[in-house]
Amino acid sequence: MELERTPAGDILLRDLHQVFVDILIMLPAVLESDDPRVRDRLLPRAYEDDEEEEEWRRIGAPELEHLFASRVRLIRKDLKTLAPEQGDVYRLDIPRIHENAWLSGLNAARHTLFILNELEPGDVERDPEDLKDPEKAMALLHIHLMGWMQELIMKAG
Amino acid sequence: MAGSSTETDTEERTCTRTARPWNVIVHDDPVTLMTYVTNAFMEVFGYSRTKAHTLMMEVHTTGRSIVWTGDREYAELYVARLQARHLLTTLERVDD
Repeated sequence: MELERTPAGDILLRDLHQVFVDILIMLPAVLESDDPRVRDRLLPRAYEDDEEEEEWRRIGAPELEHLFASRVRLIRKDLKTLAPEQGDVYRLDIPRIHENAWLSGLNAARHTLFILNELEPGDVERDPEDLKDPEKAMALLHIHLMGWMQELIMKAG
Repeated sequence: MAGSSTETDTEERTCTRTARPWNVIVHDDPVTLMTYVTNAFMEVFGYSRTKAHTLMMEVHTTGRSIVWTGDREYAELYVARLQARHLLTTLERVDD
């Protein structure tokens, strides 16, 4: 995977191998998980006090949910640019104004995969091949590769 | 008068509720990239890379860091912006 800036400042992800294409295609579905454990992590408590937390949730949660939903729409729209290049690799165009949506979306997806696959905190530092459970190993691989995408986008600043 | 007393009590409670500063606290999590946290602090608070990196390292090594202190309204705004980026963020009233 390589990242280029277009003359307009947009991002062009190139040389995307099939494993990245698979991750990108599943990204919207991961982000739309309605698992309550995921919801608790992505909309965490802000206040220790129950009354203050209830007020915070009443006002803040709908705004955050709206933001998350619009982020998925942007990502889904950008994924329509996913196209084959020469050979078995693909390319993806990400407008500059969508960069933060992608960075936060990838972060949310990493958290979601971590939770749904019941990974342990120490697993994140491990090599996926060291995990005996193949589903957990695949989830950890995807978490690492999504992190790599985040790093590339941030370095392209 | 009972009415005046109640109004005064309410005013005092309101002032106490809003005047005392609040801490915005970011907690460590095993998933979010360290560079992503640093960038978030720079974007949300306008901190220099050095200050943002120092706070990120405090989160990473101690489990939490007070990243901002001030009025509650602003504190809630910052919490919302950090939670929008999926950083584990809470609010705590500053101790007397």
